[in-house]
Amino acid sequence: MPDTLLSTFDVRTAFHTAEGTAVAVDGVSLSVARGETLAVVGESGCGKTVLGLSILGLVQPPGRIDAGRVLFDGTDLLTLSPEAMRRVRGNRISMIFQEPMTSLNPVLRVGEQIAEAIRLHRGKSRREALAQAGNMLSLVGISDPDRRLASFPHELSGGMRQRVMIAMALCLSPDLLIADEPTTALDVTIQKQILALMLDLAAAKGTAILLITHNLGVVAETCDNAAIMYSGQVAEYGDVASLFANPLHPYTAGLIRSLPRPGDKTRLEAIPGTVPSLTRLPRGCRFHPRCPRVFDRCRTDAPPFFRLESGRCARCWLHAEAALETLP
Amino acid sequence: MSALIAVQGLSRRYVVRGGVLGTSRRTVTAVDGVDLAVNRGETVGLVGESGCGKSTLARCVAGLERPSAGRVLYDGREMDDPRVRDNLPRLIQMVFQDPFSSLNPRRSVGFSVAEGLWAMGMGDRAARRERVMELLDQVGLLPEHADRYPHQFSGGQRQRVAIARALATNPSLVVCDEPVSALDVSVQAQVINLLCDLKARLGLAYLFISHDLAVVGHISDRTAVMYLGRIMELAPTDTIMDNPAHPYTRALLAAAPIPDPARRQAARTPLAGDAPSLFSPPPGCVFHPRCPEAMPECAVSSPKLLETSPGHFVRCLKETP
Repeated sequence: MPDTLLSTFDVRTAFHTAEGTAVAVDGVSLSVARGETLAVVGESGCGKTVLGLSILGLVQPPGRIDAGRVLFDGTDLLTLSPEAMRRVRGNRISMIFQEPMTSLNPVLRVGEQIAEAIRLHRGKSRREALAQAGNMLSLVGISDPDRRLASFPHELSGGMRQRVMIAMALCLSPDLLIADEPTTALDVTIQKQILALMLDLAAAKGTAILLITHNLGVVAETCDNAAIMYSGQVAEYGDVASLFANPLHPYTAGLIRSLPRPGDKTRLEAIPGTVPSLTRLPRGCRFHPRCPRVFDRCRTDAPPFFRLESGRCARCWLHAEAALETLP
Repeated sequence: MSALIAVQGLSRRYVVRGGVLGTSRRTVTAVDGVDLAVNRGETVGLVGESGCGKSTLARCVAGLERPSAGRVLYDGREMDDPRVRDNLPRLIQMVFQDPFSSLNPRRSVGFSVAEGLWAMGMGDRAARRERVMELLDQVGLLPEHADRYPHQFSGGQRQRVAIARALATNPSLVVCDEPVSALDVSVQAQVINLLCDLKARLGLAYLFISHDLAVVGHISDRTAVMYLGRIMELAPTDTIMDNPAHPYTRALLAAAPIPDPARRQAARTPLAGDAPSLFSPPPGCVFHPRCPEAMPECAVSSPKLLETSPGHFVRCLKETP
C-alpha cells in the first residue's frame, strides 16, 4: 500500500495491577491510508480507547505498551523520545476526546488554547497565532469568532466546545486525527452538525481520521473502513459497505442485528451473555461463550486473524478454509 | 374508563438563584403545560434532547416532584386522595438510567429488591424472600444472585435488578427514564426484550423516556416528542416514524444515524444551531429559531397542540387551520 499513513503491528498494551494483568489491547494490527476514515468500533472495555492512547503515546501507568510497532509515515512512534513524540502530537497527529469540558482548560480563554498549539509547533507570534485561531473558529461555524476567542469554556454550550476542540485539532492541518467518541456526549441534532463539520474540514485538509466509537449508525454514515474490536482484539476488519451487508464475524452480525430500528417492532436479536473480564478470558475464541455458531474448535483454539481474497479479515474459525493467509 | 395516568396542564418551574450574592432569582420552566395520558397496558414513549423536560415530566408523574401547575390523575383520582397517596408505590415504580448509582452498594440485591415490599408492609419475611426469587427469575437472574452486591454485577445485570425492584409491588405503570442509555448495544437489546416480555406477561404500562428515537420507536405504542418543555407532536408511533408532521420531529428523525451504509445520505442538512436556553425561551413557537420551515408569524404567535387527525396532535402553525 503506497499511501499508508499509519500502521500498527501487533500492538499489545497491558495494565499491570495487583489483581493481575489485563491486556487491554492484545495484538492489534491496523492501517490507515492518507485521507481515509477508519472506524474502530466496539463496546465498553473492548480496548478501542486504549488503542488510540497507545498510538498517541499517552498510556499512563499502570498501563504499558509491552510489544508492537506503530509506524507513522515511516517512523516507529514507540521508539521516539518523549520530546520527539511531543513534536508529533498536536502537530501531525491530533486528537479529540469525548468530553470537551474535561479536555479544555477551564481557566484559559478559548483563543489562547487554540493559539498555544500554533505558537508551539509553528513558532508564530501570539498575535499571528490568535488571528489564525479566529479564522479557525469561523471555519468551524462559530459566529462572532473574535468575541468567542475571549470566552472561557464554561461560557460555551457542549456543541460549541466540541467545535472549539475541532478547531484546535485541525488548525495545523495534521495528517491524522484520532477522534475518541467525539459526539457521544451530544444530542443527536448537534451530533449531526459536529460529524459533518469534522468530516468536511478533514477532507479539505487531507486529514485521515481514526474514529473511535460504539455507535454503528455513525460508522455506517461516515467511515470508509471499520475494525470491530472485541476483548482487546480486532474481530473483523473490512470496508463499511460489505461489513454491514455481509458481516464475517458472528459478533459483528450480532451487533448489527441487536440494533433497534425506528418503526420496526419485531423482537430484537440480542447477543446473550456479557463481555468477559480481561483478567478471566475464556479459552479458545474469546467470543465463543456468546457465539450462536460456536463449534468444537472454538472452545479450545484461539483463532488467528484470517485475511480473505476480498481484503476483508476476520478472527473466526468459520473463515479458516476461505482464507488467503493468516495474520497474527 | 379513565386513563391509568392523566397529566393535565402540567407545568414545573424552578427558581434558580444566581449572581455574586445569590440574590438574583430567575425562573426556568422545565415543563410547560403538558397534557398526556397513559392507558392500561400501553407504552407511551417520550423523546427529546437534553433539557427538553422529559425527565422532569417523568418525575412529576411518578410523584417524585410536585407540579407547579396542573395535575396528574391516577385512575381519575388526584394525587392528594388518600387512596392514591398511600398506595402510590403499588401504582407506579421507576427505573432510572444509571444502574450504578440507583442501587445501594452496601445492600445485597435481595434486600434492595425486597425493600419496597417491606416498606409497604407486604408479606412476612419468608413471603418476601419467595417474592424476590420469583422476581429475579422473571428478569432472567438466578436465585443465588439475591445474596450478591451490586458491584458483582455487570451494567446489564444491574439494570435487571433495578427492573425486578420496580416490579416488586406489582405496579400498573413503570416509568423508565433512559433505562438502556448507559448499556452497550448488545446488552441494550437484552433489556429492551425483557421490558417487552414483562409488559406482555404482566400487562404493564410504561412511560418510556429516551433520547434515542430508534429505541422509543421500537418499544412504544404512542410517542410524544418534547422540545423546551412542551410536547410538539404526539401520535401513534408508526405515524410519528412514517408520517411526522412537526418539523422538529422530522429533524430528529433525519439526525439519527442509520446503521446501514446503503442508505447513507450525504446531502442531509443537519438542523442548525443549539437548543435555546430555558431561561430565555424564544417568543412565538419555541422551535422557530432553528426551524427550517419557519414563517414570519412563527416568531410572534405560539401554536397550540391541536389534534390534526384522530389521535395525532401537532403544535405547529403550519398545521393550524
